[in-house]
Amino acid sequence: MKTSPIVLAVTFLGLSLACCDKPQADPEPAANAAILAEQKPRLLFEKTNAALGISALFYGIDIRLGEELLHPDPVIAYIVFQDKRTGQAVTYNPEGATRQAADFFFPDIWSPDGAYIVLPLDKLDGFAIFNSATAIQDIESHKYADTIRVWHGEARRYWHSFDAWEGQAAFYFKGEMERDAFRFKYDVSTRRLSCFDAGCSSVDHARNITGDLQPQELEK
Amino acid sequence: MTDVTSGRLSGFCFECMWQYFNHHEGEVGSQFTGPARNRMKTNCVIYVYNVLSYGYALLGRSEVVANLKAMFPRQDGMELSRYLVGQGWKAHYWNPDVYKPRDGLNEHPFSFKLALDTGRYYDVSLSGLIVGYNKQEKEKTVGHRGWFWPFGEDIKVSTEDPENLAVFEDLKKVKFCVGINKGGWHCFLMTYCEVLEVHWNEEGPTGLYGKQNFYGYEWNSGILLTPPDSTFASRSIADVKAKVTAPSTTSRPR
Repeated sequence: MKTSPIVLAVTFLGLSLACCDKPQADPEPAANAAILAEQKPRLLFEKTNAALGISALFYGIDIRLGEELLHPDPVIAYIVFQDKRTGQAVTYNPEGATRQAADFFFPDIWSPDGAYIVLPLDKLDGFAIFNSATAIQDIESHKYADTIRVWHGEARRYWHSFDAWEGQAAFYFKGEMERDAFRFKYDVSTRRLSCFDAGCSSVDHARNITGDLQPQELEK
Repeated sequence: MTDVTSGRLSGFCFECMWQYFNHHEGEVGSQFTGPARNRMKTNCVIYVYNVLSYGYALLGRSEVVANLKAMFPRQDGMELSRYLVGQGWKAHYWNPDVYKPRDGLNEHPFSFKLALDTGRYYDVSLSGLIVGYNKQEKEKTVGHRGWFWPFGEDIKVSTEDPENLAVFEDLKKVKFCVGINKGGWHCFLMTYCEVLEVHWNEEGPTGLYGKQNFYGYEWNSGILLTPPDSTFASRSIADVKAKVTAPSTTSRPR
């Protein structure tokens, strides 16, 4: 090979975009429906907001092939929110390729003060936050109280994983990529995003429902 | 001779892959926390993009190079995979032990189940499967030989499926392919079952580029994408599904 790869990289990154066609996508649509086609989901557990009388019913499937259980931990397939007082219900089951992640859903969706519900939008697109009091209507109409997602550098999206709540309405989550996991905290009530790694505020970027926001590096 | 049969794309990519691997003095990991000293930042996806762009550039496929450049800022391994499949590459789901992943996570048996049920890994159409080639339990006890337990010996049968092992032997002959793990978290290149990858928080000369054998690769599941000029064929999804969902017998290979 006569061209140095380093030179090549510069050449590649310097190429004109003028001749670009749209990238040709794999023609078949995502097959989320097929995930559930072979097995009827069962109720795994329920998490209730007692003050509002709203229950979150977590349905899931066992990882089973034929007679054999492949893993003891079932996978959450969707969540049904049910208003015990009115009987109204709505299913939260977003589309998207990352729905196939075994850890797409997480159980700890209610904020400790009960005011918010945090749900996955997409593993690469972060979280949707709903007001608990109007959750049934808002989930139906995709009316978010807030959203939060983070990415690295110019546009490299992190794989978002919920960690835990802190206080009444702040939650920790991880942005994962390659072999690393970067920790963030989003306070829903103040809309403040914190990051925990040296230099993160300069290389990480975030967006909530109001627009771009800068992660704040925590003092050590 | 067409690109599909000539082996030229694999050859160009193979050559470039090793050039980067052996000569990366001018590069530094994009997450390296020390001084960059004007070195070009790299990571696992950049390595893959650079090598593919070089291969297609030498083939004269400028439209592919341009499309790769358009996708480059997002550095999304799954987007790249979908694009390559659209260009005639084949995606093969890999999982060394679908019944007992070494990290214990349900992610791996679940992605195997979805591969069987949907023919996809995330939203990438699969050509076939490379599975069960490195199981933790390569044999199991089905009985006991001897007149009185614990004397005598256990009767053990292999849990290996010869067809899985044969596919892995064929994989060892693949000159060049691209690997994607965990829905695009990590990308790598592979040659003759040796993984070549970039570690984004390292610098050279040691540490930035790594090499390891694919047989024991710690990510436990993902896809491998073989170029259009590769003749490699993985196991048919239908065939594996028929086998693993058949009523159990003591000797059923899995």
